[in-house]
Amino acid sequence: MQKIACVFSFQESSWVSCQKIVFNLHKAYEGIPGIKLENFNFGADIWGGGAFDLANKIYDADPDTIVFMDHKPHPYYVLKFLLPKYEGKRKPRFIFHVFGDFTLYYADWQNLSKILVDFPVEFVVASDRQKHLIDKFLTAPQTSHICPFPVKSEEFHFQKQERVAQRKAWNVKDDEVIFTFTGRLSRQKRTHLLLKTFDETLRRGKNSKARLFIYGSPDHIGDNFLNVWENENEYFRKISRIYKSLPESSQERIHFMGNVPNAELRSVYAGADYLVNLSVHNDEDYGMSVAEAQMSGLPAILSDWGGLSSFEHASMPEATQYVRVRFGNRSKIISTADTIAAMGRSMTSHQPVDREKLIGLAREKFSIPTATQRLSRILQLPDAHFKGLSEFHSFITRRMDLNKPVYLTREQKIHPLYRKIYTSYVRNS
Amino acid sequence: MLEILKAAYDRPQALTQNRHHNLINKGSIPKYIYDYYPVNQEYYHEFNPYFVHLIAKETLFPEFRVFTVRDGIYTFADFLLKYMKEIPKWKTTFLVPASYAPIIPPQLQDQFFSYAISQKKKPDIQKAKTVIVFALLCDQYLSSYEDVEKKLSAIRGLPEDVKIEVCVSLRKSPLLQDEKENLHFIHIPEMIRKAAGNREITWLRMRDLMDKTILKDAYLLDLIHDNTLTCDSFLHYLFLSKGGMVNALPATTGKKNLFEIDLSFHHVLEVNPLPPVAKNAFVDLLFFTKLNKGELWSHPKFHAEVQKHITTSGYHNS
Repeated sequence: MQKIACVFSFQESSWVSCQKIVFNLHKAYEGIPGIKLENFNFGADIWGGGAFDLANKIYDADPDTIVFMDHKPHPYYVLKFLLPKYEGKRKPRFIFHVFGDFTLYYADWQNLSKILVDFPVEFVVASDRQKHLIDKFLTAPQTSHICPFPVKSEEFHFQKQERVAQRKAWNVKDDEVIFTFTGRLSRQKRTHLLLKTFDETLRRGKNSKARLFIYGSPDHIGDNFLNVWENENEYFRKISRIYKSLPESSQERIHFMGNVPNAELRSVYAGADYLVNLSVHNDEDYGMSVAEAQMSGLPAILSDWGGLSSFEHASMPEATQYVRVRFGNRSKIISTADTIAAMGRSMTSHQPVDREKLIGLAREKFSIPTATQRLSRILQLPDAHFKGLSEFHSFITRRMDLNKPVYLTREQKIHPLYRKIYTSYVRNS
Repeated sequence: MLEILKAAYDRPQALTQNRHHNLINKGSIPKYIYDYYPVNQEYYHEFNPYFVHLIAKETLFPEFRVFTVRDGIYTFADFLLKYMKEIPKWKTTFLVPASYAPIIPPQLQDQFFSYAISQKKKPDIQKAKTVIVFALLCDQYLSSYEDVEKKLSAIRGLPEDVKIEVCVSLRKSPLLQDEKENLHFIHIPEMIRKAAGNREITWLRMRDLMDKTILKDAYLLDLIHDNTLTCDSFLHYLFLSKGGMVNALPATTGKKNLFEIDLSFHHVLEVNPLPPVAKNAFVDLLFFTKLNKGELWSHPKFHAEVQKHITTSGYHNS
């Protein structure tokens, strides 16, 4: 019986997608035969003495494998106490589930890498493009493994009566094409562009039979890597002004629904005809909302960025329409033409997709049993002894220490270093 | 007058972080600021909501075409008395609650409008699924225990399935000259327990409250008594921006305002001319400063003098 220590915060993350990820990952591990799980609380409150005590608890439990399945706190803060205990002794294997915020913590990963050398280590990422990114930071021959964050099929599936009920709640007609966005209303998720392109599509098509339901609350994360800082509420003011500048006929077709509990999203996906997500967020390793939408049989219009590229299905091309993304001088640029074309096609030539087929394809990729199989295979791999992070990672860490905008040139353009890192997130770059 | 507001609102820079923002919190910050958290956390709209006492140098005021005052009545009165000669030179337009009208210097009235923050849906505690009681446990946030009991009585009649959460934090009164111990940390939780009856209470740390992402169907029962500390609490913004309800703010009436800005999908800033007052009290306050020296904002006599002229009681931002 393999003993696995699961390390995560028992308190829910304030980052909504991460709340579900940890829970579902744990479920995936529970499904692996021949293992015994023991849980250890590593939350934001645990610093200093608390981390030391946690390290002792984990050590005393004598696990074969230690899995870090949460996005924060950074594992370094407990491993700096734990790893020295294994000096001259059998070393457990470490599995790190990598989240999108990996690139916020270069210094912590660098510090950890120095004390992790020669331990058996696996990095697990959520998408192909995230693998491409993270593998740049690993020393060959070590590479990461892909296991998309799983979605509970009991939570997200499709029921016709829910569609009927949701559309009634929205007060929309049967022939109206419903687009929806769920997530943070954010600069990096390009909510402002979503409003403008939806309006433009309506006007070009003179189509009054489409509506956009936007679920989520604004944030003020800005785009810090590119030196765009926002005050609390600043982004809301921006999208409010954009919304109010649209013609009334477009304003009437756009609905801001605020934040809703996760349990209500299934109905939203049931009632809608398309999910739209134009994110170009630095942290877009995956796209939990897209996975949930596809598990509910909802086709999507997506920016071809980062982990969102994971949601195409070769046997069902109609399930996903991609909008091109490229690096501009100052920002990541989404093709407005592609966005309008995709929305326009969806509005004028709307054909309901075979939801059950899409759900089947999504479950093959994103369900908990699929994740269980993938994780099981990872656990059966021979030990891969960690040789440190790559010179590229060390280089970036040193630059981060210089205390100036790392990703911008003096002319305030995107620095080649940013392109070199995030080229992994752009198709055919 | 409307042109001033429109011009400030329409400026291309109105949507960007004020370029002097980084300087705002530097310089000599009054030490009482730290006792205000989280009530004085910052948020943004085109009319620059700030506390006047956070502006590091008075020379920065001309950078603000329109400045929305979040200060409590005493620190703002103190500010007016200190800078009554400079304010006309700044040409800044100030937005203040209508209740502050009696202390605006008559010769500066042209530079002042009134504002109110209202919620688009009428707050109704009976519709809440979660009621969150909040207070800073200090004399200048709370009032008498009778008044606190009266506010808490709103919890008594609620259905059993309504969750009660409490976030209270022991503080010293920010605007007091001398520190004074109080027993609010004993009495207020007791009163809350009594009002909640057999219901289970969840006690929140400040971080638990500030990290909440979904506040739909949540009702903030703020025990704030009046405008001593602020006329625009960040907590009200936080709750309303996330879809909650707040006891301390009125509902939108639908009347036409001179100017409006949506502060979120759920609440709005309404701007109107300053209301006329029966008697302007600024001269009385000026006279007070001739007879009393020292920091006014912490002077109990100054507080009493200001209160004499403010006719609206309780917490208000209208």
